[in-house]
This record gives sequence, structure tokens and C-alpha cells, in this order.
Amino acid sequence: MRLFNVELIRFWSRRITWVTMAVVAACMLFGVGIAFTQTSADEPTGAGPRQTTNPDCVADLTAARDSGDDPELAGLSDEEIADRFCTFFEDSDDRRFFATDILGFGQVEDWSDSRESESQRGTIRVEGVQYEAPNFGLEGILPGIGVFLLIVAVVLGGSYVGAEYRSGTVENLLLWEPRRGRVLVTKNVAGFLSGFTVQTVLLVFFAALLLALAQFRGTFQGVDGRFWLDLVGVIIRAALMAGCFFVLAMAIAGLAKNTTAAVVALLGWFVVSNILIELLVPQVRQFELFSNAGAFIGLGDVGRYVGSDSNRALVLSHGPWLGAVVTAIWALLPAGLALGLFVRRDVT
Amino acid sequence: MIDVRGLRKAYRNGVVAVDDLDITIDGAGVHGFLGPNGSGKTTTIRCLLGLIRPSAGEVRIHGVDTTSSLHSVIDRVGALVETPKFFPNFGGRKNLRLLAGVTGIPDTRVDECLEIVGLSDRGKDRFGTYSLGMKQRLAVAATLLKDPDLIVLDEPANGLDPAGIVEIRQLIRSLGEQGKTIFVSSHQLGEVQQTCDEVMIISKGRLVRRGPVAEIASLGAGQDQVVSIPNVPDAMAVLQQAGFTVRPGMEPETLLVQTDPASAAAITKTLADAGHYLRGLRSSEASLESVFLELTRGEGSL
Repeated sequence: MRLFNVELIRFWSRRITWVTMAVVAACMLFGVGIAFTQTSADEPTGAGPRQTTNPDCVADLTAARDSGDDPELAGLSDEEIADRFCTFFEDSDDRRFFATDILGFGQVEDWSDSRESESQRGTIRVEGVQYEAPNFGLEGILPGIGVFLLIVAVVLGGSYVGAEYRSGTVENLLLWEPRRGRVLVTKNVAGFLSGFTVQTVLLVFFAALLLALAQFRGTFQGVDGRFWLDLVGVIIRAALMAGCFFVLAMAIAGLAKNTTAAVVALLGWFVVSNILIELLVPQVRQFELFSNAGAFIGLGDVGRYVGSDSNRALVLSHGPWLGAVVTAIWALLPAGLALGLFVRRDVT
Repeated sequence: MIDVRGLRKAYRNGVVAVDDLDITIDGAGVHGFLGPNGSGKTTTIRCLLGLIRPSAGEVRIHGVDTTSSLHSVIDRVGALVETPKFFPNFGGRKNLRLLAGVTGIPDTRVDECLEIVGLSDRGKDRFGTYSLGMKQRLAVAATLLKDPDLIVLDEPANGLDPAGIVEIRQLIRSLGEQGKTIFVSSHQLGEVQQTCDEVMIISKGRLVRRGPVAEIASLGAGQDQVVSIPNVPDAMAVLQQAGFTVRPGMEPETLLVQTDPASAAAITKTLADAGHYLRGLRSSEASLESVFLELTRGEGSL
């Protein structure tokens, strides 16, 4: 427990911890400041009807049905074609920031409803008129930022261990606690908790900013008890994933005895993983690290490819909870390897 | 207290740093561990402290095998291995408090140790801003935190200025006099001679001599004639041609002729005949230096 306390004290005494958090917080403040200038608390005016039907679209598709060119249209009446394919929601001129945007409408819905579709935008009723969505485009910003902030966990986790190797203090520590397994397990637990805490603090701060934005430049319309539960859920899930990424970065930094290795490896992976997987190993798409973490944070799904290269299709692989398990395995395997090596490796 | 038996450490690159080393230290005082760079001193100390695994042999501290159970005695051991290693962005006091926190040592002890090494006033300053001497003193303070009965110091005077060396020397002596066991490695002969009660000389990973400092030093007394002369290389060549065994001295413009004092006249004449006029000629004093050089060159021929 003493070692655990020491690790936590050390983490929170590091300048990089506070500087990183301050920079991220400043960026959040800046972004919300811009949003503040782009939004307005005014009630929407000149709102159009909920939906309009494009007559050209109906004409084209009924012609296609009649000619038999499109089997999908066979048997559909003109009204069904118009309703399914040619009726469009209209945007309003509403410049208010809706608190519900923080999570995104897809998140407010039961996640199981969205399993079948990639994007299920919600609708909202304002003064009896139903709109496709509020106009200001911050939908799902909190889960999205939650994924993006995993980078912070990577930087802090990598540097946390990398700094020990750079300064050689790991040797000092072993002169005080020679049980290496205990040392590294304690570091990992402290690291997980630190990553969790940093992510929580940052997301709570960001959520508070967005809620303030809704308060002063928008509306809480559509917010109910479920919203608040979902809000807390997103933050906790993102924090859990940040803990995993912190441990993963620590493991890579420990294996390489270097901060840069961890940061470059994981940030590089963040940037190029999708391209690499698409090009080289599409069959493992469902195991990609950030996709699984993101699915858990946003309670989304992870897709996998089926079919050959020329006729490839993306289908549902697994849901968010398995996504969390996959992410945890991503963190635990390198952590186990790092532990094994740390216990056996000469400290020179 | 320290019991090393048949210690061998071979690195993966094939280098055998320590080979069949036996050391026993069983009593208070300052025990020097002397050897040239690369002789295996630090490797031995790292094995002793569980930082590297021996390839063979046994290493015990307080009767405990350090490869498996060091944790049970680590609270009684303070150690400094090579360079001081602390977080550069933390202050000296903060660095010590982090270490002290591992075993629950109170902050008051941290302040005491900073006082002992004369860093009380600089405790808040970042370690990265310390001079080499201050860093070394902070490392010594870290070894004292636990108030250990065994202190292992690897080259504690490295990088210190003359005043710092004197301070460290006095500190080590005073700790030895307090009944603690100090195991101090060095390649600086003067340090060991002035600080230690006993010395172990290691060369190429093997122990080549061990005993009280005065006794070891006396082995070399009078065996060399120290010649002071301006042109050392030429003078060496002349003496070698005349059949003397000669090597450069440690001081500038000196050379050592391995012969007894009765040959002083022959040395003088040989040099004068060749046009070299010496400035001084004396028998070497009882010095660890000559013994050390002899032992580490010839591996224990004395």
C-alpha cells in the first residue's frame, strides 16, 4: 500500500501530468468558446414542416419499379416509394445547442436499436414541429472526445514508465523494494487508476462546459433521467478505457525502456491502423484496439469483414462489452510480457 | 554480513565480468573494494543488491540469499550504485520523500539526512539543477535514510571536487566509526588508502588481494625508485636499454624503476651518461598505488 501511495504521489507530482491536463482543458475551453460564438439561445423561427417529398425522386423510382430495373422496388406502391425513398427531413434554422447533443441522439436511444444501422439520427420536436436533429453539429461529442483523449492516457502512461528508465530511478526503487513483481503490479494498478482519474476529470470538465453551453446558448429540451445516466456512463466507460490505455502504454515503455516507443507505437497505430488492416489483414478488423475501445465508450458495435477482397462486406462482429474485453486483453498481454521481462531482466 | 561465494557473471555478449569471486565481510568498519575500471566492481555490487542475476555462485547479505529473499533484509541495507539516479524535475527533498515513503520512513528523517550531507538549504531545488557533487551527496543521503547497518557505496567520490571528496571521506569514516559496515568500491587509490580499514583488490573479475590497508600498502614499500626527470620517454628508453624495469609514475615527469635503493647510483650514472640529469631520486613510500598497479597488471604476483 505504501508503494501504491508513492506511485500515486509521484504521478500527481509530475509536471507533465498537470501541463497535459491544462493544455487539454484549454483546448476544450477554446472549442466550447467557438461553439459559444456559433450558437444562440433564441427560439427557432421559420421552421419548415417536418418532411418534404421530392416528386422527381418519386417519378424516377416508380419508373424504375415499372420497368423492373430495380427488384427492390417491386411490389411497392407509389406512396410506399415516396415514403421510404423520397421523403427527406428538413433542417431547421435552430441555432440552439441542445444538451442532448453531448451524447448524440444515437446514444440516447437504446443501443440495441442502433445495431442494424450505422447511423440512427434522432428527431426532436420543437413547438409541435419535428426536426431531424438540432442544427449545431456537436452530436456525440463526449464519446468522441473520450476516444480521442485515450491519447492523453498513452502519453502520460508511456512517460510515467519511460521517465523511470531515462532517469534510472527504477534501479533506486529496486534498492528499496526488490520484489519486482510487486513493484510492477503496483505500478500498473496505480497507472490504471491514474489514467482513469485523468480521463474522468477531463471529461467531467468538458461535459460541464457543454452543459453550460446548453444552459446559456441552448436548451435542455429532450433531457431526461436517461440522459444523465448515459452521460455518467460515457464518462465512466471512457475512464475505464483510459486506464487500459495507460497500462498498455506503460507496458510498451517498459519493454522498450523508452517513452517515445510507447507514444509513437500507439499514436502511429491510432493513425494508420485502419489503413493497414484494410490493406493487409482485413480479417482481423474486429480486434483493432481503438475500434473496440471506441465501441465500448459509445456503446456502439464493432464490425468485421466477410467475403473476398473483391466482394467484401462489413457486418456486425460484436457489441460494446466484448469490445471492452478485447481492449483489456490488448492492455494485459503486453503488461504480462513486460512483467515477465522486468522480473528476469538485469538492471544495468 | 556480506558473503559472496564463487560469484560468476557472464553477460550475453560473452563478457565474463566476475569470475569465481569470494568475498566475506563480517564486521563494522570501512571495507574498500578496489579495482581498475572494468574489473567487475560494479557488477559484483549489482549482484549483491539483486539488480542483476549471477550466472553462478551465492550472494548473501545478513545470511539471506539476495537472489531470492533480499526483501527481508533490504531495510538494513543502504546503497548507491554508480551515478545518482533521481527524478530531475523533482526537488531533492521530494525525491528522498518518495523513497522514504516506500518503507514508511517519516519526513523528519529525510530532513535529518539532508542535514547530514549539507543539502538542507537546497532540498527544494530541482535535482536536475544540482551540481555533480550535490547529486552525489543526495545519493549518499538516500543511502542513510533507512539508518542501515550495511552501506554499499559504488564510487561515491565520482565527480566530486576536492572539497566534496574530503566531505564524503569524512562522512564514510564517521559512519564506519559509528559501528556501521561500509562496503565502498573505488578506483581511486588515495580514497581507499585514506578511508578504508581493509581493502579487497579485484582485477579482471577476480579477487587478487585482501587485507588491512596498511599491510597491503607495505607490500610495495621501497620496491620502486621514483625518478623525477623532465624527459620521461627518453629517460625510460635509456634505463630500459640498461636493463632496468621501468614504468611511468603517477605524478607528472616521474618514472618508477623497479629495483632496490642500492641501485640508486647506477640509475643516476646511466641517465647522466646519456645526457639526462635527474631532478630527484627517492625510494617509493608505502603506497597502495604501487601494490595496486603491480597486482592489477600481474594479477597477484606480489
